[in-house]
Amino acid sequence: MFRLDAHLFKQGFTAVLPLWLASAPVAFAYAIAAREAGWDVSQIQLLSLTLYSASAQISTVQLLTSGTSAITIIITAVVLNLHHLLYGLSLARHMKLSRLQRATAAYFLTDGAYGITIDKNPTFSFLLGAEISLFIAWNLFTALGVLLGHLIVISSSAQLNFVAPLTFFVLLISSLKTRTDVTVALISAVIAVLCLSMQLGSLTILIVGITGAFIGARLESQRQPTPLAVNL
Amino acid sequence: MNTILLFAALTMSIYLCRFMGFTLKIPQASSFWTRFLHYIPIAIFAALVVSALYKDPNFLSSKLIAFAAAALVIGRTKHFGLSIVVGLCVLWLLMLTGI
Repeated sequence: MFRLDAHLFKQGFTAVLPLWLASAPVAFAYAIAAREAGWDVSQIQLLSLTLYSASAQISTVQLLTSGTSAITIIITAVVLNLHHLLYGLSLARHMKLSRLQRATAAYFLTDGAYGITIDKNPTFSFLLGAEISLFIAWNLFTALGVLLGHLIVISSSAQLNFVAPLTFFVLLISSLKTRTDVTVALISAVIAVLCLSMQLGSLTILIVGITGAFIGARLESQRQPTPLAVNL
Repeated sequence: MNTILLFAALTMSIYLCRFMGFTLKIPQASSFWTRFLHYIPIAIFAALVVSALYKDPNFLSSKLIAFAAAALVIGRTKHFGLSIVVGLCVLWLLMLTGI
């Protein structure tokens, strides 16, 4: 087994609490869609416990319902989650992990846990705290969606939908330390708009992650990074 | 189609995506790859924000003002939770006033 720093674990667990709000409507949407597609309770909850990926779970419900082949469903889910490969690469740079730690961290890895950990405290205990916190939220809200699905009217509340992008925006701002960082962020945003306007969908994150990081590395090798003169 | 088999295949596939990143070996000595990895979070955060706004462009100007308020708070206080709360409150106020 591995040792955990309880204090860091708790810090990670609480750091992602704002993202619980963001996961609720998505988990409800998944649970309700799956019930309407005729899935039984155990199937709905099982997929949240094992696959644990909002985008992959929702696409699986839609594709299964429309009679899509298994191989297409799997390829779609992989494409939707391919950017997780970059998260692992990025986290492994900061952490020396045993095989068991890598296996555990990989199972619970999500956008939110990665973002908060890489920005705040890239240690295994913090990461696992953040991951477990979001895993509990996702499964709790899935269960609530299953049990109370017929009572819940999914609100299109702009505030709830805004929690996740706001969180990533704050993480972005706090990770901007040099002019090159700002340039990379702006270029990445432009590339993202281009990808989205070309209907590349979920591949956008992967493409922007690779091209943005590549451009940043090239820019930095051409000039010494200058610290930002004005602190926002 | 056997649903449980499909679930198992899906779980294994996604787990491999997540696990491979932790196991891929990148030459530690290469300064290019060190810089590349440094910029991954910045590029991905930018992509996640833009994707979310692109998919849900309602109240775009209010959201941009809320972003600005959150940026100001994180820049001044370095307090993550406070900046999220301020951003949400600003959006709520702007929506309430019909902006």
